[in-house]
Amino acid sequence: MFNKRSFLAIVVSIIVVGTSTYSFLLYLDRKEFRNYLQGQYQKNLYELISNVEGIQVSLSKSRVTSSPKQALILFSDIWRQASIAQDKLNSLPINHSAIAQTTKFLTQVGDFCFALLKTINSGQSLSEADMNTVDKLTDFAGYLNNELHQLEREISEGNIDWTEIKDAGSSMFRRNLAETVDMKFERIAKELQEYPTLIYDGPFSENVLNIKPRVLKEKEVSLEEAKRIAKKIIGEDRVESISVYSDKTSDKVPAYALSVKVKGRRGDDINIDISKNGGNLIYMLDPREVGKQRIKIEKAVKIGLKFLEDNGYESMIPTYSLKYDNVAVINYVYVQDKVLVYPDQVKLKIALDNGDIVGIEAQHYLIAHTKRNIPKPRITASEARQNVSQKLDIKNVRLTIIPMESLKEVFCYEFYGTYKGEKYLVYINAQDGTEERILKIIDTPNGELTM
Amino acid sequence: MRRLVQIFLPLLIVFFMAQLVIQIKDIEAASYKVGSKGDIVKKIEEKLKALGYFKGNPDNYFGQDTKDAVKRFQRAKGLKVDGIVGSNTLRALGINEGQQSSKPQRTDVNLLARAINGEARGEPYIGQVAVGAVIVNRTRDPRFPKTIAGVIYQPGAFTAVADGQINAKLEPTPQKAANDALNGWDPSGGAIYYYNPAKTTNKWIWSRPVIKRIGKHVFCR
Repeated sequence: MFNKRSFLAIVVSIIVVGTSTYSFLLYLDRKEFRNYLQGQYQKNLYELISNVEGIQVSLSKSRVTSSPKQALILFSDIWRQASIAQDKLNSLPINHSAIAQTTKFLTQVGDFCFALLKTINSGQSLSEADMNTVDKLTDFAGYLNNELHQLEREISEGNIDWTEIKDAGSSMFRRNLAETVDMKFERIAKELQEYPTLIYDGPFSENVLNIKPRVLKEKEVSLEEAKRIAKKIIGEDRVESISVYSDKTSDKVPAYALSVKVKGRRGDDINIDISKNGGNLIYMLDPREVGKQRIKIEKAVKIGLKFLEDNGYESMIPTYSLKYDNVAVINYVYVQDKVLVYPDQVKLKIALDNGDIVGIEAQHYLIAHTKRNIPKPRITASEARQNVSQKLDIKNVRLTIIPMESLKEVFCYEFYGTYKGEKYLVYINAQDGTEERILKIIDTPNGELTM
Repeated sequence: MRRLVQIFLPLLIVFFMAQLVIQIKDIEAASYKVGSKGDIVKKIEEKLKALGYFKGNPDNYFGQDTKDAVKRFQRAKGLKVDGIVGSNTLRALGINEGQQSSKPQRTDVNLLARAINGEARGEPYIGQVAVGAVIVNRTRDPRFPKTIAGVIYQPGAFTAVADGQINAKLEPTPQKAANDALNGWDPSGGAIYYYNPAKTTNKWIWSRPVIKRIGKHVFCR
C-alpha cells in the first residue's frame, strides 16, 4: 500500500510533469506563432523594398522616354507601386513618428505621378519644371532604396527580429533593437525632408495641405457673443445654460467649444462649436435618444430647409438623404444663379420622432462658401450630351460646380441617367466638354448612396 | 515534503485559474454604473420600472436613483448588491446587450464602429465621434495609410487593436458615432492624434499642439 509519503511524491511529480509539459506546449505554440509573425513582417519588408526599387526604376525610365503612351504606363506603374509601398511600410511594427516622413514621401510621389498621368492623358505635354522634379525624386527614391536594402541585410543576418521590436520596451535589449530600426527611419526622414515641395493637381499637394480657410480673415467675436449665437441656433426657449467644454482650440478654424444644457433634460448635453472668427457655426451634435418615427422624411426635409433659412443659409436645396435608426441625415447644397454649388454643403441630422434638428455639419460650407464668379457655359447641354455615353437613359440635366480631389472647382453639366436599372451621375465640363467624373448611385436600406 | 505540497498545490491552482481568468477576462463585458449613459441605460431603467423597482422616468442617464433601484433589484434577486449593472444583473433583467436595431451597410462603418467601441466606449458621445473623426482624418493625411482598415490596424497605432478590445461586443452608440464621423462630423477639430493623459507616458505625443479635450482624451495635431 502507498504510505502518505509516496502518495505525496506521486502527486508532486504529476504536478511537476504537468506544468512542464504545459509550459513546453505553450513555448512551442508561441514559437510557431512568432515565426509566422516574423514571416508576415518579412513579407511586408520585401514587398516594400521591391516596390521602392520599382518606383526608382520607373522614375528614371520616365526621364528618357519620348513617347507619351510609354510615359502613361510608367507613371501609372509608379502610382500603383507607391501605394503598395506605403501600405507595406505602415504594416511594419515601427514607431509611426519614425516612418511618417517616409510615408509622406511615398504618398506624394504616387499622387504627383497620378497628376502627371492626368496631364498626359488630357493631351498636354509635361513642363520642364515637372521633369526637373521627376529628376530629383528619382535620386531620393534611390537613396530610400539603398537604405532599405541595408536594413534588409541586417535583418537577414539575424540581427533584427520583428517580433521583438513589436514588444519594444519590455527589456533593455529589445528597446535597443527597436531604437536601431526607429533611428534608421529617423535618419531616412531627415534626408527625405530635402525633397522638393510638390505642387500639383492632387489631394496631397503641398498647397492643398496648407490652405488657410478664408473665414480666418473675419473679425473675432467674444465668448458671450458666441454663446448668444449658439443659443439662437438651438432655440432660445430650450437652453438652460451654456458652458465651455474645451478651452484649448488650436484648430484649423479656431472655435469656442460649447456645451449646452437643455431644459428638462438630464445629461445628454448638446455640443456646439462656434468659430472665433466671424462667429459661424462649425458643427452641432445632440446625442439624445430618438424615439419611434412619427414624421416622414419629406416633412423632415422641409423642417431642415426652414431651419437653414432662419439661420442665414440662404438658397439651399436638398440633394440626398440617408436614414439611420429614426434619424434622417439630409444633405443641402447652395444654389447660385441656378447652378448647384456642391462644395458649399450643409448636413443636417433630423430626429424623426418630433422633427428636432439633432446635428449640423457646417464646416465644409464655412470653408468653401463664397460668392463665386460663375461664367456662362461655353457649350450647350445638348452639345455636352454628345460626350455622355449613349447607353445612359438621361432623366435630368442641370448645371453644377463640383469639387475635384485637389479642391479645385469645376463647372459642369450634371447628367442623371440610368443604365440597366442602375443610376449614374455623369459630369461634363461646361467649358470644354471633358468628362470629369462619373458617380454611381447605390440603393441601400438607409437611402441612396453616391460613390 | 508536506509543507512543499501545501505551498505548491495552491500556487499551481492559482496559476491555472489565472490562465482561465485571463482568457475569460480578455474581452470583458461593459458594466453600467452612476454616470453611465446610453441606450442600454434606458433599457435598464425601463425594465426596472416595469418590475416596480424604479420610480422615475426612464432616460438614458444612470443616476443615483437608478443605482438605488438596481440595488433593490439585486437584493431581491440574490445578486451581489453593488448598484452596478454587470453582465449578471443584465442577464437577470433579461437585457441582451448585442441587440442592434439595424446593421450598418458600409463595411467601413462597421470597422470604424468597432474601433470606436474598443477605444472610447463610455466616453461622451462627441468623444466617440471625435475618435472616429481622427481615424477618418488620418486617411486624408499623406503621413498615414489611406484606408480605414490600414489606419486602424497599423501596428501600435491603437491600444484597442493590441489588447483585443476592438473585438468586444459592439454597443449601439459607437455605431451612431461611426456614421456621424463618416458623414463629415468632426468634433476633434481636424485632429490626427489623441491620447489619455492619465495613461500615456510617451513624451513625443505630449509635445503635440493640443486642439481639444473631450472626456478623458486629449486631441492634437
